Amino acid sequence: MVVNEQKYDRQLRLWASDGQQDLEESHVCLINATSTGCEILKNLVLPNVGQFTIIDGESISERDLSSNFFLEEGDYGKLRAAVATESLKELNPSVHGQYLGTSIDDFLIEHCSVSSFWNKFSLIIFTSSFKYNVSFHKLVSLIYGKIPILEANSVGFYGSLKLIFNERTIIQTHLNEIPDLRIDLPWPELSDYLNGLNIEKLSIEELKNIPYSLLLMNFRRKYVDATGNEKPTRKDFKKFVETDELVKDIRYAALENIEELLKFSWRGTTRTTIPSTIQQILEDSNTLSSPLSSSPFWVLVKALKRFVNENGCLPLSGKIVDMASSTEKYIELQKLYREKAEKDKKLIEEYASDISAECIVSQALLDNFCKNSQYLVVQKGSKDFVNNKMVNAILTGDNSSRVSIQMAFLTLGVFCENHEHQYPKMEDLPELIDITETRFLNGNKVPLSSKGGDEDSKYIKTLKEFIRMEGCEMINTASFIGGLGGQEALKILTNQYVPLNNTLVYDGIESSIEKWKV
Amino acid sequence: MFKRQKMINGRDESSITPALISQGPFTIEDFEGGLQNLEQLHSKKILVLGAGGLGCEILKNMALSGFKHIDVIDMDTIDISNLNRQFLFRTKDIGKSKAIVACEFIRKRVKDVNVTPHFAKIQTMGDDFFKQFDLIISGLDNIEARRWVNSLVISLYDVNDDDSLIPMIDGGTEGFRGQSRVIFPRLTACYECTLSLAPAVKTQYPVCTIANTPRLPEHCIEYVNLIEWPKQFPDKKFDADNPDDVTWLYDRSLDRAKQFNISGVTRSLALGVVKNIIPAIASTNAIIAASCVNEAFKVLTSCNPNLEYCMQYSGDNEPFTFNFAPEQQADCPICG
Ligand SMILES: [Zn+2]
Repeated sequence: MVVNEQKYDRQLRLWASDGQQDLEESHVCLINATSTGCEILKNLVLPNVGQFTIIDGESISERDLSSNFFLEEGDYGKLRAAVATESLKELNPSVHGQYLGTSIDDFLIEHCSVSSFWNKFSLIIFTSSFKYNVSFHKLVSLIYGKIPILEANSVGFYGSLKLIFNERTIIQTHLNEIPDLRIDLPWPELSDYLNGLNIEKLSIEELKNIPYSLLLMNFRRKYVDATGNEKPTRKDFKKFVETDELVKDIRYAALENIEELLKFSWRGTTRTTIPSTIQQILEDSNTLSSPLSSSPFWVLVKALKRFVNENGCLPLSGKIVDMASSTEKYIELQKLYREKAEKDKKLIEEYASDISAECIVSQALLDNFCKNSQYLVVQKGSKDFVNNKMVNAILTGDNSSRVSIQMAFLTLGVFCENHEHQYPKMEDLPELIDITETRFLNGNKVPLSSKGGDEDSKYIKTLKEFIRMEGCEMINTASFIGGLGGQEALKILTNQYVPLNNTLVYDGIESSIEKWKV
Repeated sequence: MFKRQKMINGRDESSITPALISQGPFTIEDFEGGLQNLEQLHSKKILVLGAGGLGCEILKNMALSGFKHIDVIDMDTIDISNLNRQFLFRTKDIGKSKAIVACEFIRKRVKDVNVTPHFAKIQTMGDDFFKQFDLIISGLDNIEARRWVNSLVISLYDVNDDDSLIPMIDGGTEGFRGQSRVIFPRLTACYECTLSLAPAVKTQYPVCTIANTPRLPEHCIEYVNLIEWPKQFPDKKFDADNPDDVTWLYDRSLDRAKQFNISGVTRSLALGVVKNIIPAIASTNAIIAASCVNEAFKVLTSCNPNLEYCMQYSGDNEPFTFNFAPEQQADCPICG
């Protein structure tokens, strides 16, 4: 274990041991060991994913060798799944890897209804999906809502990534944290502590020991007493603090905590509220379908709802920022916050067991839930591929939009389906346009030239770029999508950070990505 | 039609050939498609700075992008904590030169590429060494070395001699984030021009805080590192790679934390504070290295327009890129 702590030190700093454990217990399935696919898997094998299974029936071609670093020169003609599995396992001996040397088309015909085969996976990664359009969509409808699917494609300088899931609930989102200091809403123990300090009577020597949050609490109370206004503006409050006798008298001493007090005086005006994103989640908990409503996350959300109803605020996170002060005063303050957080947590636990006696909520989960209750995220996914925004971007010939890349991938999928996995040539351009119009644009016409010019429209240019690249994966695009796919897979497998929802394209000509929700 | 080079049953260049033999819809005006582009690419000499997280990825991508002459320079040796991302190294390689082991691996996997390792410090190589390259691509992990190379490539450029211009492509990563940038000496902003964008080198804690009013576990660790160690071992530099040194530091930090009632000192935190450890994963390096080599490919072949200066990538929330191209700073100490 010590060895592993050293080996994985640089990633444990991102997702800690609980994220690592989730990663090591996961099993991913890669369909098609393309260059993009092997790059994604490499990025999961290195950080020690539990297991992987490759499904691929192709033999290694020259083109594979040309763009895939994980195949060796002598491997020409061999089964791609077998060679890739060995090569990827060699990267990290503690990862278990296996393969099925069947094409996904054949595999689904034989095992189509066997969802028990798929249930063991935490994530399914489908690459070159446009070449296996029928199987890809078959698989999506078979396992949508059960297992997330990461679709990844790359051709020439273009790539795309799509994450297909029904719903994701994330507790450890690692979103930017704003300290939860409750300056406007001290609980009784904190109020008592503040009163006991008698801030107005302290000497300079004593005053410099006090963390600024306590000073702000004192000034806020004073402001409300003097003005009757519970909602001071930042400007007014800052002026009030600056012109207070206490502050004026000691400003010459340049005390560190007084400097912080003035710098962060606006924190004295922030109000403890329930963020609208959290309110939405609380509302959502009313309308859950039955299997979900008994999951630990939603049981905790219901407990949170009761807590909010009874207390008017979220459970305290218990974390405070560093503030210039004496060790003694800081530690006392920290203890108050931790004790209150602990108390709030006990209430949530109690409510949760009232709501569902069967549902087992681990201490670690409860702990994370309470610490992150301001930052919970629920993502609603979809299995749609086209929306109005995309249709409009193509129809209006929007030059700044990269939607055309995704539209071209979708069109390629239909073309390959109609031509037994064949990739289009330049003479097939009219057919591609026709597919786009009839299948994705409700019969509307693709603009052929850019507005007022004789140049091709963005979409036609994009199709021509696709055709000219002959369906080749280039290592740099495959590796870029492999890296992005790796990151997204890690977020899914560790249950931490907020993943893509749900469509992304990469344009290696313009060197940028664009994402949107379908 | 041009005849394509074909290698029977081996690694050919079929994946990059289409991009080079024909004019594309987005190709820059003066580009002419043809096999001569592939030959030209083969003749280019590239210098890779760093054989670490980015370096391993850069070498892999270069070897499969038509580059045949690659030198790589790195003074570091392989550590166990590199293995979670530096995929050209294995446990048996710990302690060996990164540059040498990386080149051996590349040679084994991709036969007809000349990779030359330099197990050396960048700053010890002379001007003539750098002058032989057509492009420098850097995956360094520190700002000082970057500034040194940046200033060197700008000093090597003689405005009256086009051949003296060496484009530099620079990558950097931290956690789920990173950036790649393309620098043309005196034509674009240089590294120094945008130095203010570089991440803070290290959190500095005021000495009076760590000595008199420690509040965080980090304060205790820094106190032991900066004040107790030199007192106890005046003649010995603290070595974060020596487990005995780290254990001493950790134990003393724990003692100090206990004395002040501070919780949260762990061995991992102690190491993080004294080594200024930056979180790193393979996938982020893959993204940034791919972007860097893609730009190198476009810059040296002109087959498509290259990135104007900088792409910033962020993946700790939903993925996002931001591209920007600032002006050259008139008062830049290096290129202004
Ligand atoms: Zn400059």
